Parts: sequence; C-alpha cells; structure tokens
Amino acid sequence: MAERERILKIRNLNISFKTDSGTVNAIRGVNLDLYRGETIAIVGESGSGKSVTTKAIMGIMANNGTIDSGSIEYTWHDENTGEVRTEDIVKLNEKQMQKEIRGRKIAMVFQDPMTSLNPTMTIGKQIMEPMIYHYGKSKEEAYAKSLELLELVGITDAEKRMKNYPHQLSGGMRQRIVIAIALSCDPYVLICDEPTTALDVTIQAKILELIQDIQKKKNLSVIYITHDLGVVAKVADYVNVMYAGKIIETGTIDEIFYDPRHPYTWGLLSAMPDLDTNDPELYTIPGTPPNLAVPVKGDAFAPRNQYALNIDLRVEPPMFEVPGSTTHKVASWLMHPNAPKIEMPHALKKRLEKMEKGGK
Amino acid sequence: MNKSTLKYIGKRLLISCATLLVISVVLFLMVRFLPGSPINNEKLSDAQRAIIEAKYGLDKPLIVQYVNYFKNMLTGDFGVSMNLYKDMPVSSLVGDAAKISFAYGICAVIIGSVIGILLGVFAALHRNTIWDTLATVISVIGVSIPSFVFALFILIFFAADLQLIPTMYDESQVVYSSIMPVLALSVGVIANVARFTRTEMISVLNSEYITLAKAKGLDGKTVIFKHALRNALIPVITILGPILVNLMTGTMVVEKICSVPGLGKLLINSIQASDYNVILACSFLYAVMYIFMMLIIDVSYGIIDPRIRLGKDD
Amino acid sequence: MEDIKFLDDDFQLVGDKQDITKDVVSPAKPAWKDALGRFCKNKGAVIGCAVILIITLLAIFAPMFSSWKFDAIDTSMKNIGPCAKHWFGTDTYGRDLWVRIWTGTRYSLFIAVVAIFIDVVVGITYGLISGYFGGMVDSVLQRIQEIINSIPTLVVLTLLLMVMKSSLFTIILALSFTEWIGMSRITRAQVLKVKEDEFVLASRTLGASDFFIIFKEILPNIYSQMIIMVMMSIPNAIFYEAYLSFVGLGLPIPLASLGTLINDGFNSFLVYPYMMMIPVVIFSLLMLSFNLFGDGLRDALDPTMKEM
Repeated sequence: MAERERILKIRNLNISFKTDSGTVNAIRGVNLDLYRGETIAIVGESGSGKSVTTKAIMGIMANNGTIDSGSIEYTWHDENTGEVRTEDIVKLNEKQMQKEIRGRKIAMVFQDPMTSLNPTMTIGKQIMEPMIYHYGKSKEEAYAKSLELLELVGITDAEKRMKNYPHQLSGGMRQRIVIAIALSCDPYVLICDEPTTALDVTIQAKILELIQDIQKKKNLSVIYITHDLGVVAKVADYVNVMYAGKIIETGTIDEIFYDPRHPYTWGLLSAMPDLDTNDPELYTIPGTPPNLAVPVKGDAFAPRNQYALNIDLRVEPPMFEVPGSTTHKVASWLMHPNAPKIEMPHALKKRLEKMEKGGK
Repeated sequence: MNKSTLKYIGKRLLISCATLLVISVVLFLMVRFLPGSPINNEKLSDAQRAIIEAKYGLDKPLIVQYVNYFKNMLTGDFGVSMNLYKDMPVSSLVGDAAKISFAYGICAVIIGSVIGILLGVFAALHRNTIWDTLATVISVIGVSIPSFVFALFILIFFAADLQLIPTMYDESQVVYSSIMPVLALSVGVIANVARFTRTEMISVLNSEYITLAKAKGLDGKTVIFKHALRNALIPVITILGPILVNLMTGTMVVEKICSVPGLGKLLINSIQASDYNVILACSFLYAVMYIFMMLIIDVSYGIIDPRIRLGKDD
Repeated sequence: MEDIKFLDDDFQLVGDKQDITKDVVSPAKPAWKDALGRFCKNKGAVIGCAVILIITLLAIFAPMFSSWKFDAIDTSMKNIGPCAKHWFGTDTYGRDLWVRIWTGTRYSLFIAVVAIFIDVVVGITYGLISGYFGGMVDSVLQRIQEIINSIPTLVVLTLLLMVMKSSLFTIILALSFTEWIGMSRITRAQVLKVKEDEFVLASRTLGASDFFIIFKEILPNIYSQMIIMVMMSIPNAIFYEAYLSFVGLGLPIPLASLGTLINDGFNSFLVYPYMMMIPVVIFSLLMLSFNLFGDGLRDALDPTMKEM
C-alpha cells in the first residue's frame, strides 16, 4: 500500500455560537484526519455538531458562530508548481478562503436538493458559474465541461437539462446536479451532508453508488455527515461517532461495527433498523442530547448511559486507545484499566455477529 | 407558457369580467331606483324627463334598460354632470382627473419601490445593527400611518411654515405643486416595500441555495446580486396589490388635502354635491383600474417566477 | 491523565442511582406562557399595547369626568386654544375639544371593534359553510367571494353609504362588509383539513354529528389567527371610518369620530392648527399602536409566521 497522503488535519477544534439563551459550545475539541482517496463518516444525532464541523471546514458558518481555538490544516499540491502546500484554514481570511479553498479545493453536497438549487437560475448557469468564476473559462469551455459533468453524474439528454430550471426536475436529478456543481472545479475533498436523507429510498442507493463511483474516478476524499448507519456501512472507510460536540469513538468501519466500545455507539447500533432481526421493538437511546448552552460536567453522555460510572459525572473521559489497534479510539472511562469489565448488550452482540456473518 | 398558466389566466379573466358585470348591475340599479338619481330627480322639468326617458328607454323592460345602460357605459357615456359642473359630459371630467391621479400613482409606486427596495436590502444586509432597527422603525411608521397624515405634516411644515412648496395645487407649476402629494403617497409604498423586501431578503439569505452559492466560492457581492436579490425581489410583486389599494384610498384624501384636481377630489366633490353620474363614473373607473391592475400583477407574477405554478394555489 | 485524582468509588457503576430515562431538558412551559414571554420581549408590542389601553381608558372615562358636553355649542367661547380650562381648546362652535376628541375616539374605536367583530363572525360562518358543504356550494361561494374581493373597498363603501345614508349603524354595517374574506379563507382551509381527519370519519360512521366536532377542532386551530386578524383589521376599520368622514360620508353631526374631527379641523387648520393636529396625533398613535400590537401578537402566537 502506498504512503497515505493526509489532506485534512483537524486538531482540538472548539466552536461556539452566541444565541439569545447564552453561548452554546457546539464543538468541543474535535480531532479529525482525512487521507487522500479515503472516505470518513461523521455519525451522530441531530445537534451533535456534525454539520457545524463541516461548515467550519468550508468556512461558511453562521454569523453568530466563532472558532474559539484549534486548527484545520489543509494540504494540497499547487496546480502550477506541484509543490506541497499546507494552510491552516482557521487563520485564512475570508477573501483567501473564498478564492482558494471554497469550491476549488473543498466542495459540498447538501442535504435537501429541493432547496439547495437557485430556483430562478437555469441548471446550466449554475453548473458553469464556478468554472467561469474561479478559472476564467470561456462560456464555450464551461458549457462543454458542464455537459461532461452532467453525463458523469448520470443525467441523460444533458443538453436539454442545461436549459431547465430546478423545479422542472425530480429530487434525484437535482441531487445529481448538486453533485455536478460540486465537482465543477475539481475539488480534492467532497463533503456530503446527509446527501440522501431527503430522497426516496429507491434513489438513495443510486446516489451513494454515484458518489463512490466518482470518488474512485477522481481519487477524491469524501466526508459523509449522516445519522444513518446504513449509509455509513455502505460507503465509509473510517467512522467518527460524535456526541454533544465531541468525537467519542473513532475507528475503521469494521472496528466500529463489529467491536464497538462506547455505550453510545452500542445505542446507535442497537437503534439501527434491521430487516432480519425479530425484535418486537426498535431500541432507542433514552433521554435527549444535552443542552450545550450549559457547561458540560464530566461525560456529556453519562445522564443517558446505563453503564455510567461515578467518575463520568465528575471528569470528562480522555481518548483511550483500544489495545491492539492504532486506529480505534474511545472516549469512555469504561476503557480505563480499573473500570469494571462491561460487555456490550447481549442482543446487540448477537445482532452484530449475524451481520458479520452476512457481510463476509 | 404552459397549459396551467393559460388556464389560470383564463380563470382570472373570467372572474374579472364577472366582477365588472356585477359592478355595472349595481351601478345601473342605483341610477334606476335611488331617489335623487338623474332619472328620479324631482327637479327635472318635463322636457328633460322626456329626453331621459327616451334615451334610457324607461318604458322598456328592465333588462333592456340595463343592456342600454351597459352599452353606454362601455362607450364611455356616463351622461352629463348634474350639479357639479352643469351639463359637462362626465367622461371628459373623469378623463382629465384620472390622468392626474394615474400619473401620481405611477410616480409614487416607482419612487416608493426604488427607495423601499434599497432600504429593505440594506436593512437585511446589516441585520441586527442600528441601521436595521432604524429601517424597521421607519417602515413600521410608514406602514401604520396613512398617507394623508404625512400629507398634512408636509403641508404644515414645508408649505405653510417654511413655504418651500405651494400649499395648493397650481396649474401653472404642475411639477412643483406635485411634490407634496407624490411624496406623501410614496411614504406608504416605501414602508411596505422595505418591510417586505427585508423579510424576503433575510429568508433568501438563510436559504440552502445561498449556502451552496457561498460553498461554490463566490464572493459576497456575486452571491447577493446574482443569487439573492432576484429571488428576494420577485415576491415583492405580490404586495403591489395591497399597495395599490392603499394608493387608491390614499389619493382620495391626499388630493383633497393638497387640492389636486384628480379623480379622488372629483369623487369627493361629487359625493358632497350628490352628483350621481359623476360618482358612478368615478367608482366604475376605480373598480376597472383596480381589477385590471390586479389581473396584471397576478399574471405577471406567474410568468416571471419559474417556480410558481399558477392555478394550483387552492 | 496523570493529574486526575481518582476517588475510591470512581470506577463503580452509577447504576440505578440515576434515572436515565428522565429528560433533563428545560421543563415544558404551557403554550400561552411561552407566547406571553415572546410577546413581552417585543418592546414595540408592549408599548403599543399600553398606548391602546391608555387611549381606550381615556376615551371611556375622560368625557364622563368633564363638566363639558361633547355637543354643547357655546359660541361665546369658540376657537380658544388649549388652556387650563379647555385642555385641547374649543372648536369653531365653541365645543370643548378635550371631551369632543375623546368622545370621537370612543366612537371610532366602537365602530372599528364592532365592525371587525361582525367581520369575524361573517367570515367564520362563510368559511365554515363553504368548507363543510363542499362541492357546488363551495364553488359558488368561492366565486362570489372572489368577485367581492376584486371590488376595491373604497368603491364598496362609497356606494353602500350612498344607498343607506350614513349613520352610526350603516357605517358599522358597511365596514363589516370589507374584512371578512381573510377570516373566511382561514376557516375554510381549516375545515377542509379537519374533514379529512380519520376521527371525524370515525365519529360520522358512529352517527355523531360531525358539525360539532369540526367546530371544536376548528376554533382552537384558528383562534390565534383570528386574534391576529382582529388586531390587524381594527386599524384598517379606523382608517376607513376616517376616510368616509373625509369623503363626506362620515358620522352625521353632532356625533363625532376621529375622522370627522380631523376633517372639521382641516377646514380651519391654517388658522387653528391644534383643532386638527390633536386628533391627527391620537389617530396616528392608535394606528401605530394597533399595528405594533398586532405584529407582536403574530410573532408571539405564531412563531412560524415570524419574520426571521
């Protein structure tokens, strides 16, 4: 295997929002790595901070949000000289961010294709716009490239579609267009924020396949934001489980799916709907995510955790490395050598075993 | 234009025609049966009465009378003025007055929309700052307080006290004496447009496609002018209807205050003089103008905005 | 990690000592309390509410506690400017304006409130009938509504009052004719929605009268829009009343409303500006306050309608 080339390196990122009800610490010390050609997934409930993280990477956070500390280092090969450059996005100003990074290096696919296209602009114009804007391409060049892109994302009679307005297309088609727009400036990183949740089930799989396909062709790195573990299982190489603005478990897809260690991850996996279990009820994690406007004491998950330890109420757990793995890390006091040996719930264990057999 | 748009336009046209028909019936019945109307006026001499009876065919069945009346109305023949301007044809009276009112209305809409849009966009871009608050206060005041109050204040301060502009309409200096009424009429338009534009602009700026435009790496100006503005301004057409209503009632009172010889002044004078033919002609013209404008506004909204599928609104 | 001092029981399970099923989110507040909280945060709305209250109280009580009568003509004391004896001065007939203006405000408010009340009743009835019966009835009623809606209010008012000759009663009646359409639309939409609901169907199969069920389902769902509409319509009615006065179709003398007072004052305002300015200011304050109050109410009762 060739040397893995790191594109994105996030260290100790803290983001807060000023709201009417006080300062909300939405992101609390996130670390993340993304390597070339690989796919990572960020999983968590709504409000866990996964979208905020990606918006920070794009530099398009809402006005009331600020990055309090941390770094987002982005590494790329300069187009002209070919030399390797690394920039901390947090330190870039808005102008550099807009000219250099957004759209050109990192592109994004949004959740709801119904609302993410400009309703009063033709599809063609919307795809051509960033190419003309960033690379000064002529209209003809941009038009030709747009047709290519539309074909790449699987849209037939592309020429006709170029003249259409978004409302004339179906949801699946629109999402393909959004992907085409994202690819128009040849980015290295593609962020997909719940790219399939707003789509019909039949189209979801197709869009995921499309993204994977393009990823292979263009050697892209992809970040998936999702709450759907089914999607994660299909596409991701690495998984980061996020809770209350922190990554609480990270590892390869196999480690997270077949050897989860954090009780929250157990909960998520147990809550995943599954065709062949005959459980009478779908498991849900009790309680609701904490209010981040109030400072968190100890482990944010402790109040919902049936395996909570006394120390969880007092001290925030650090990241423990799972023995025997360089990639699998868990933020839970249960990993401490002194902690009682807690096994994952029996039902989940059986379920995961069954999945493993089915998967391999 | 697709089928549903055409169907919608057809439906709107039908409703408009029906409305006109209803209004014409009401007006006819008023002329025919209201005591003191041109036909029932006791002061008429026998000779005059005979002429009128012959003209309107009062001996014929009611429906025939109505058809005659309607024909006359369509050709612009509303009879002659009775009390206000003895025996002047109503059509020429109303025509002259309408020109002035119409010009004022157009000026107020243009001035008001331009300033209102600028103010609204400005407030939306400087959201939650002192400028935004200021713009909001201005628009709340402008929306709530009717234009005649502004006319009165302008009259007192700029015309009576400072004597910058004439207090009365002066035919020898039309532009100069139109400043006050047009200004007073524009305030409401400015406020309405500014308020609406601000709300629309803010919701557009919060929308996903603006985030996408930013994610494309476009600069702020391009995002605002190429993506946000058009989408925020299209719905502004919808409030032109209510604005028009405001303007119509506004012109009546403002014209009276500034003694502008417009349609409103004419209507007020004719009401006070019980000059039925003039009243009915003015009302009819107001109604026709209103219906026609509403039709244009509705249809143009459907054509301009590719998102809106007309005819699917209920 | 070394700097953490571990306690003895640190690595024991909390177990049943905490109830994990409990939600620790902020305690739920009743909806009206929430709305009240939102309303009170809106300074403009609170001020508007206060001004409306003050003006209403003055309109009710000021004429009662004054020795002057609003229609008592005394030409020996005409055109007196505001002074200690006549707080708002007297008019060209020597009537005390303090009493006259507050009486006029009383009439204006009375006309507006009664007219809007009738509007709401008419609107709800119309919408209920239209939505409930559906089919032909609905299309006929809807077409009629569209036709009425496309006649400008000022034409309707002018023609109606010419036929009926203006009096307190006819003005109220005429104004009732103008604002009911919004209410009717809201009610109809709600009826159509509720009619589709399963439980109405179920109760119908059980033989219950679904009219009452619909009514019970509709009122709670439209009451906030109803209140908002009332608050937004009252200034309209006040304005149209003033408009009628200006046109010469207002309250007959000796009755007074804000509109007739402004109109009377206008005739001599270059000489006696106070005669017009005072009613104009009260009129403007009322309009502004009702608008602010209505806006605040809308934001408080229906946060989804709130401009972001």
